[in-house]
Amino acid sequence: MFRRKKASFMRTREDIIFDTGNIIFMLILCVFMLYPFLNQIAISLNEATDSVRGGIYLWPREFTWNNYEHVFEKAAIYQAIFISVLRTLVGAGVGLFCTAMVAYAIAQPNFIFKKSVTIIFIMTMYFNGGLIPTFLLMRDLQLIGSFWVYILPTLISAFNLIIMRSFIEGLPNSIFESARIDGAGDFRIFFQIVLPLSLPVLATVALFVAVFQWNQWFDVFLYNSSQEHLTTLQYELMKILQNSSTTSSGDMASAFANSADGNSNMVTPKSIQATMTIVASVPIIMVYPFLQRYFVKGMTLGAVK
Amino acid sequence: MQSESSIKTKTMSQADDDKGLKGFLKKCKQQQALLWMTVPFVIWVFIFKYLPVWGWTMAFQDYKPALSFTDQEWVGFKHFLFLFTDDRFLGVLRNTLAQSLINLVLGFITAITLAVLINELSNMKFKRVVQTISYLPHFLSWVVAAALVSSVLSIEGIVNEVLMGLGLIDKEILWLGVGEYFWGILGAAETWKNVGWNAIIYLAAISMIDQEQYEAAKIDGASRIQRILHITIPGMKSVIIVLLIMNIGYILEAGFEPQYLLGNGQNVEYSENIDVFVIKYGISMFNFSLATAAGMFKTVISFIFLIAANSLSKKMGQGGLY
Amino acid sequence: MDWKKNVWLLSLLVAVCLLIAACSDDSEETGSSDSDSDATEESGNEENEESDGEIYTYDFFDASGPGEDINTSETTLGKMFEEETGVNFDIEHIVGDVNQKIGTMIASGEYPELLNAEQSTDAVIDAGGFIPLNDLLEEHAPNIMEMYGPYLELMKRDDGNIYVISSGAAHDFAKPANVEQGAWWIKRDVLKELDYPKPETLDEYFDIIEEYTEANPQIDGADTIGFTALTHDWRFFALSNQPMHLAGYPNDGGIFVDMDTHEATVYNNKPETERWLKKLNEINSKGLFDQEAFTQNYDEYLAKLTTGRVVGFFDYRWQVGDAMNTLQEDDDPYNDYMAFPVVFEEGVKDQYLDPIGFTASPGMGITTGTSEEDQIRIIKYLDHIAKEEVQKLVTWGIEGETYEVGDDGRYYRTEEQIEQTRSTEFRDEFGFSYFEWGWPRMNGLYEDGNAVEPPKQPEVASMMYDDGDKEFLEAYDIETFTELFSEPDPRPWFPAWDTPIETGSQAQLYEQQLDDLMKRKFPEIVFADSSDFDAQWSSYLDEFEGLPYEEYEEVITDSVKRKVELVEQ
Repeated sequence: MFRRKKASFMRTREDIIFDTGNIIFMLILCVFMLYPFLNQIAISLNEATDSVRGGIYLWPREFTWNNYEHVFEKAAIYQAIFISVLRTLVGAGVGLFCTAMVAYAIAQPNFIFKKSVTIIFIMTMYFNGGLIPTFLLMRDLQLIGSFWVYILPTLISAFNLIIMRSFIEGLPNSIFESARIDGAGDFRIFFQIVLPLSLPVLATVALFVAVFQWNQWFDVFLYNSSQEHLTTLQYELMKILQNSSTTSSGDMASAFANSADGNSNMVTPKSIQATMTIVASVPIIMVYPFLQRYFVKGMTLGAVK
Repeated sequence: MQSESSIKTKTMSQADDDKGLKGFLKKCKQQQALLWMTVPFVIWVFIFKYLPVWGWTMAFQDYKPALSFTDQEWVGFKHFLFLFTDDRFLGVLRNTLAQSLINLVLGFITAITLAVLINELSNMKFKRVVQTISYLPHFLSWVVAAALVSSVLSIEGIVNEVLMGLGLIDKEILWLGVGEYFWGILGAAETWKNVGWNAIIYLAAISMIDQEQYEAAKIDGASRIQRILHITIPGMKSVIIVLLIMNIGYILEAGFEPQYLLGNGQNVEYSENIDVFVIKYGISMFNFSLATAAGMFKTVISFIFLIAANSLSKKMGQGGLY
Repeated sequence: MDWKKNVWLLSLLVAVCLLIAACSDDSEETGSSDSDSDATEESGNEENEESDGEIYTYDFFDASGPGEDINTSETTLGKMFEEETGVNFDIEHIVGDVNQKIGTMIASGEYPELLNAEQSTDAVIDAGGFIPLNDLLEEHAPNIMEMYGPYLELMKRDDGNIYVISSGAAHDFAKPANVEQGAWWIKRDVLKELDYPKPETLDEYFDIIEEYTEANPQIDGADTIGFTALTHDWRFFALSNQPMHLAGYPNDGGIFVDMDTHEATVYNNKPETERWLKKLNEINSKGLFDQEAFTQNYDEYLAKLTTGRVVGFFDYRWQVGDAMNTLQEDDDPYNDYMAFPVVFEEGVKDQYLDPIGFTASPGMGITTGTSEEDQIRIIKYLDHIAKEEVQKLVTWGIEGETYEVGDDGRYYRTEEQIEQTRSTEFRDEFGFSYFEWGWPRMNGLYEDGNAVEPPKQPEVASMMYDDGDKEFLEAYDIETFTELFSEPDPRPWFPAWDTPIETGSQAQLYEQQLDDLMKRKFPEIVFADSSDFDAQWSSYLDEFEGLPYEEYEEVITDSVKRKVELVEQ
């Protein structure tokens, strides 16, 4: 049994220089990465007609909750949030399981279809049949107007599959061999050994799938746009955004009616865009810190040995 | 082939039965668990990914969505010819390759570096915070990100201000108005937006590295840099190679949103790539056939690059995708 | 060995595929009847028990623009119509790309009962997605027939059928009180400082800009921008349409239409365009032209206009709405813009106001697969809206609530009513926002002389002016801001840009190629050294000659001539 030692070594001068430099670099990086978000928050909290003037950086100039009220006053948004959460959870859960299972199989060096299955999946990364054939397929499978059209067509991404395979291949062979000697079948090895040992990569793929599912709106647009109870948050936000640009619709009467519209609930595409960015991204950004604990160093490899 | 069968003989006890139909069936039976794990998904992939490929016939038709398959007008290679004979095609292809190559190289180097540096942070809390913040820009839509890039690069934008302040330039530069700068701007924007996101996978790879190795290296007196070079990087190697091969296959996928949003008449000779061209002359003109033809072209090129990269990697003894 | 495995795997997969394909044939039929169930169910009911008070709900997909998805009966107007016709609509607005969405509808052959397919209208007609409305109109829609009477011939396609009913059957000309279309804008502050000049020609317009900019090189601490332009993405026409307007043509798109011969010619290679670009080149060398004009995006352009740094610009009012609203809201009446009808030289009659015109497409159509009973119900609903009293409901609202009638029969709105009918909430609730442009709609004047659209009624318009507006109206001795603009000459073909252009044709290709060429070349021409202008212009001309512009002219000419003929009949 290996017992982890606490880093009891003295920090060398090199370490100190390296760490200081690294921390400074990270701080600068954080400024670059954080700024656009703070900027969007400021715009989303600023009065819409004033935002058109530009020049808002980190702090709103004319503070208001109007933009958020405008977004959340639509009743459809709450159902859409539910669907988004649901498809993210189901999509990530089911997708993760299926991907891991296939990845395990094609990671086995002696699996007879190892190469063919791998190639069959890899190829799908580089082509697609196009919008209309795919649409017709979904129709023929009766997936249109159903929740499953979000889950089934994207069940396994070849990219994630290959990533997962290469991680599983990286697990020490000895683990598998000793398990086999103990009489464990593939399913047992998969569930009891591979899954627990692959937590970091499972977390990674779960994140990839979850973010993908959360951000999707195009499949809603194609397949479920007339099913109000199945639209997602991104789709509803998209709708609100497009509605906010009344003046570009070329609709003279309403454009004029809105002009000089002094009431304060007016929104502009810019302010809605910012609000939308915040509303749509904050929930999914929260997922990562939650998954981070699976990125713990060292793993439990020692325990298995 | 040989290496594969030698592995087999190592693990399979009845190596001599490994021939003919009988041996094949026997193996299938032995590995039925693995078959159960894969066959349903192979069927799935055929239905959802391969069946719609009949749509490629569109590339050889003047496709009209209303007509049945047999009623379509067949036009041979017309759409391919349109694509390849357009005066700008070579330029468009060059832009696609350049943009995606820059993206590939920059994307890999920066993401790996960031992952390594994040891994070296010793304060767990700080590490998590940095990790989360670094991938924030990935969640901005390109519309928002491009607007930001554009304003930063405007005449009165911060970039010009800083450069003027430092005395590096003596007149403001219209960054988006000079074609030659476009690839660089695009590469920088892509890196900024995606470096944190791309680093995640390497961080996962690093966390799979056996901690023992670091401890042992420390005892041997290896320096920080040495540990990075001899443990961390090699520990990520297999993931790096796999990602590299897959991304080389995407050589003609340079994206279109930032190019479309940041492109303008003054930089069009450097910004317009295949996808942008297809949007202009295909999708926005209700010409699904041209879009399909371009898609087929990209697929063919992808396969060529993928196969080449894969066999090169195998020849170098690094293993491949398949 | 390897190939054997693959053969096995492949044959297995082929078998599965065949199985799936076989199944999917069945499911196709069940699938389609499934999604139609809404309508069939209802029509089924109807056949069995035709009773009064039965309500029928149909789907209306509106690709013409964004909007709130609702059922029409949730609005005051929609409820009234439902009571009278027994019909209401579930409206769905487009959210993404029109071509893609309509493309999938066409491919699957499944349509909502009522459809506005926007730019894909021709594709739907080609696909046989719309039913011919001729007989339905004649038998069940006397009001539509009356309202669209002068335009019925224009609405017919080459096969003699009417497939869609578009909006805006013009009856007489109602001059808008405010500029809604293209114009040359100048900041009011500038006008005041220079003692209210009135530019009529292009030279005079830029003289004003030059004079002011020289005297005021900075505004509020930032460099003054003499003239800026919107060129981003599909909005490039805001820089390329000027030769047409300056030469005294209304917005017909990319062509001049000769008033006598009705020949359409492109102008992008004509001296008018050269003259416009030369002017831009000249003001650029004087430092009056915004260096970012070709790189800024839409948001940046709007933001720039709101800073008050811009002396002048040319644009269509509906493109700069957000910026103008923002400026109007602040307390500074001088940080607003006023519009002028500028032409190349004296003697050219300006034509900035849109003439009476009729756009035959896009419009609403009933789709195939709609049962005959449903077709009749839908057309009757549309016909109901086409009644003059209903048109007044849709545009003016309810007498005593949203408008008043004077003793002389003139309609007007009180201040409260103006306030009320401006509020988005009220418009949504009442239904003004939904029964808008898109539904059968009159344009111009009602028989009693009142304007169809309230903002075009002088009684309403004059009440909307604030003190700042009035100061400038007085200074220029005018009643409305459009008084500076000439009345439009009759152009029966207007607008020429609604000409259907066939997918995959040379004419269609020309439009895109021209756009690309101008975007690439215009910046080079404008930013060129003035000595280099001629060389740049001729290099542009060389490339232009390679474009299939003659095919384009032919398509537009044919359409213009056809329209003129039909109207003259």
